[in-house]
Amino acid sequence: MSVEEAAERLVREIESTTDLNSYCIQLGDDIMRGNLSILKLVEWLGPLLTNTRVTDREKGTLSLSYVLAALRPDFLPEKDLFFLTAFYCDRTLDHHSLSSAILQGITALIKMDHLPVDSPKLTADSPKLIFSSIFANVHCQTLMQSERNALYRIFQYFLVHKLTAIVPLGLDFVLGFITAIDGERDPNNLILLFSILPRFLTSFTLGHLTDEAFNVISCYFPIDFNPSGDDDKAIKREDLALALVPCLVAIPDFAEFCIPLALEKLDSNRRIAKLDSLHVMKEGFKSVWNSANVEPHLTDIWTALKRELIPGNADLEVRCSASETLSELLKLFSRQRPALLTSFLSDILASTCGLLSDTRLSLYSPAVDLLEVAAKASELACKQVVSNIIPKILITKKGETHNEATTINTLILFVKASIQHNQDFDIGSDVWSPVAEMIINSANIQNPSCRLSAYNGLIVLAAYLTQTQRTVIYDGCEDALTSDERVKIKCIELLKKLARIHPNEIMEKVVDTKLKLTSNKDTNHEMQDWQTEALCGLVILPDFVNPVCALLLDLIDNKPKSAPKIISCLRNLLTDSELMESGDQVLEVICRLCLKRLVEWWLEGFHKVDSNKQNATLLDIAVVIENLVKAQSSQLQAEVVCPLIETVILPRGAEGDGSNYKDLFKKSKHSVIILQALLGYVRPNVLIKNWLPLTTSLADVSFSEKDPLIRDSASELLATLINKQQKDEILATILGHTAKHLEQKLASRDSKSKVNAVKLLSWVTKSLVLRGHGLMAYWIDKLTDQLADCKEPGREAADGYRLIVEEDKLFLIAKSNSMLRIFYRQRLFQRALALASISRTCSRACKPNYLTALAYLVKSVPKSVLLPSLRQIMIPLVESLDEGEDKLELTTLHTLSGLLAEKEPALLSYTDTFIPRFLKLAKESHSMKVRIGALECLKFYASYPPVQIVPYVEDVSTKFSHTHNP
Amino acid sequence: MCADRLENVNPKLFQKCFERDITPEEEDDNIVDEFDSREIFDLIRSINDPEHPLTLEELNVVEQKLVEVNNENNEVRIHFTPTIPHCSMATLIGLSIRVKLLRSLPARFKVLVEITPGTHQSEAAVNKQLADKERVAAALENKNLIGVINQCISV
Repeated sequence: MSVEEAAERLVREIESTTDLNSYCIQLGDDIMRGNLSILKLVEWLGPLLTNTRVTDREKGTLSLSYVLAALRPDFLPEKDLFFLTAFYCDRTLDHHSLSSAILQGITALIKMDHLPVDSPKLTADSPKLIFSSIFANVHCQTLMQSERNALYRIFQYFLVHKLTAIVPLGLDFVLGFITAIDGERDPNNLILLFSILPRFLTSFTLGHLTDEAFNVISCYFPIDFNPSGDDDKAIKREDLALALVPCLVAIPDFAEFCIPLALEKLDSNRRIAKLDSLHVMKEGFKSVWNSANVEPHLTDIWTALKRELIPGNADLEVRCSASETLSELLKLFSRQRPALLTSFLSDILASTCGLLSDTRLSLYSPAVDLLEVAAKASELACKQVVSNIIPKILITKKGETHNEATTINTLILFVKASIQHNQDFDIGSDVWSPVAEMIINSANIQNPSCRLSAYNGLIVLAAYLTQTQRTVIYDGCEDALTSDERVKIKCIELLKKLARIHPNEIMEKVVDTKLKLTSNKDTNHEMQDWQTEALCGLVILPDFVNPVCALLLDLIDNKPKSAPKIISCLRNLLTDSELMESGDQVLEVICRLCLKRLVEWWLEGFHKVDSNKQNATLLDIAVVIENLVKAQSSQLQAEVVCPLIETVILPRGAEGDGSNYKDLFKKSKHSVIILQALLGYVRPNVLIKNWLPLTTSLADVSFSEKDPLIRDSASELLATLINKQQKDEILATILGHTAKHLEQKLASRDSKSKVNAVKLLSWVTKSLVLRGHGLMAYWIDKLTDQLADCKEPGREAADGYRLIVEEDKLFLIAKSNSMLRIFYRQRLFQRALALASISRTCSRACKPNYLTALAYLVKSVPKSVLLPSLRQIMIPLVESLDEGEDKLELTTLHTLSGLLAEKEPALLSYTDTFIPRFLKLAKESHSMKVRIGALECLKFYASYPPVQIVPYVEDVSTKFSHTHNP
Repeated sequence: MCADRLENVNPKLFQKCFERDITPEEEDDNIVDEFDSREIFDLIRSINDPEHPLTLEELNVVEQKLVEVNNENNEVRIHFTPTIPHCSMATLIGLSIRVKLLRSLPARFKVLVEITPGTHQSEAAVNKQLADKERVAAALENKNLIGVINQCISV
């Protein structure tokens, strides 16, 4: 094939193909395989490239650009690249329609490995050639968005990958670049530019173009941009604003322009202008500008910042940002110009100290906040601020007793700032010794708020107090512990903190003397409540746990009057979440020391407690035991808890093989509650001996017992044990036993025993539903059957549904080591949807039962489960609001308000149904809670789109008019 | 608002009283409880000051002890104390209190809002304005004024 033929064919192909890019990729493959050379290709493309028709020239150039883009970067030699670069640079002179094709070609060329950069062989420099022709012939502002993007990507490529090749171009490049990017408006292009500008600015010396370069960038500040549409991925104003800041503070030379600009914008009333200006200054002070840049503008900066800080901008974010900016400025001076810091701080102090004269003035707190920021900025600043204002604050305090608490709180702020900078905080120094003295004195005066602040201060100072000071505190602590409740808590916290540092001293001076640790052992002295509380506070410290526990247990045994208080304190201690998370070892020690003796005391000594305190104490000791058991490992539970039952509890029943729980429960009913406390939180893998006799006896107790406390306790424990039983045969036995008795009781005519049976049924169902047991369907159906009873048992069954889905019980929740399968509520909800259809066909009398059960289920499941079934349950939901039963209405309103609060669109189509009903409930219901709930739902409807709710506005306002019109 | 345009740049702040505990009796629908001064005070304590971003309670403009309620005669009498004797906002504050109570209380109550005696230089004039039903009604028809008042009493 002759050259002409081949060229003609190529041109024909290019003109006729619909997918030019793929065809060119093919050509590129041919070239790389050696079937075609690039020179040949250019030669063949000749008729197109030199055609007089612009469209043909464009097609030819585009084809060549596509081919170049398809080649491997290392394929073309330096010489070819030189000629191709020259060709493309020459083309920049051509018609503007070719711009896109040319820029694509250049983009492909610059990525080649052998692009000649200052080449000795060719005496050629492609980057120079490229940029000189681009700057001379391409007018960026006249290009389309995509073409401008291509051009910026060429800049980006060189700045990121071949910076050394363009740095020698110097000011020519700078001028060309800033001229090219000037006036860009497209957000995508701007994000690209803002990402490369910092590198550009830091790599080139701007010289006399600094001003121009800054103007090109600063015209965007502060960014004002509203993205169109709701596209989440679209660029937002914040993205642009964040990207612009590094450009504005890229080099110290910009400071002289940037600071006045930021100050000018900070003066505006627009919130975003303020925030952006503060952000720019903050970033500048942080790492780029130096003190010489900032010094000329210092007065203006301080004036502007002061305006935002005193009396303070109403917008918290602006205020915080201004504080951070001031802090960065002070840090900058501390690093670079301590002398300037001193004079600047003097200005700050001069304008704020006057405001500290009276704590009640509205500017007091903003002034303190500002000074705190200054003190926290650096050690140097802290020293100056503290040495100036502390004496002033102390003088102010004199003669003003009413605001001593505020003064102490202020002092604490500065103490904290000083400690933060200086670990060797010297409490004996001239500045701090009067402060410590004042705080210690205030800790001993009678005003509770003042005392509270003083103890807060002492907690901060605890590690630095001298022995003399500590002695004063120990002397005063008795008084503090007997005073206000909040003061007492803080005082105990202080003692705990001191006890960690000086355990022996606290033992000797507080525990032994004030809390009478030793004297209690042999005298008849009764413990005061405050002593008990302080001791219980100290019990969690490793140094104190043994002696204090021993004392407390002795006291429980020997002093029936003190026992309830000690147990209630222990309960408070053990329900403290902080301890439960951190004090594993201490808890283990307490468990080993106390558990057995507590159980023994419960069995032996409990009756000695005042009869009116018995119930509360019973509850407290149950919680103490539960929490002690809950926190332990399986091993410890097996080691400590299970033997306790065999050795301490069972022998109290009739003699026998240790499995005779029936006799035990007959003899001592309360042992059910003890067993519940001990076994309720035991982990599933701990083996409980004689499980079957225990559960069978419990089932019997829950059927026949008359005392509701014992009965409920037995049901709960039975459900917990069933939930944790891992062997199916044993489980089947007890379930069979329970089911058999249940059938009998449910068939009986005695309403009371039927109600008890339903209660047990609910509990057992709950325990099976939670673990997702295979038999749960049978039990759920059984519970559902009971809803058909229109009397008390039916209502109890409806309440059973609440029991199953709620988590307010102590047992059968994740924290009680129960077996929980995820999504158990969802599974139950799917099964119980049938309730919705039954509620429409059942008799009038039992309808509320079905509706109530359904309302509880609906309330418990998350929105995502509820929404798909909303249509099915809508009719029962609406009927629930018409039933006139408070509980039912309240539960339904709660569900609806949850959906309405999130502006759930599904409820829009029911506006006409719900709004009149809410109005009726809000006006006519006799229950205040229902009225509040209905009003809340109406309030949430008000935040729906106005178009949708406008028809109801008049109706609602007329109904409530009597409260609005006098 | 700019600091240099404020009448009282640095007013004294007072401690807010504690939130009222809701007792079981209050939630019980069967117990009738009369209006008391605390209930009225709760309605007006959170009104914003027209000048500062602070509430009337924080500035001690309204106090519980200066609220009198007479349930039998259906009368509520409130005294408020401007922060400075020449405060030009006194009438506006008084109007805000009146409007808030007109909107919140049942219609049976007659509400009297007055300046605490001896705390303002044109006390009598302001009291007269606030007591004049016609003038109050006219003021509330002024769009700008009701806008400012709504801003003050919005929660």
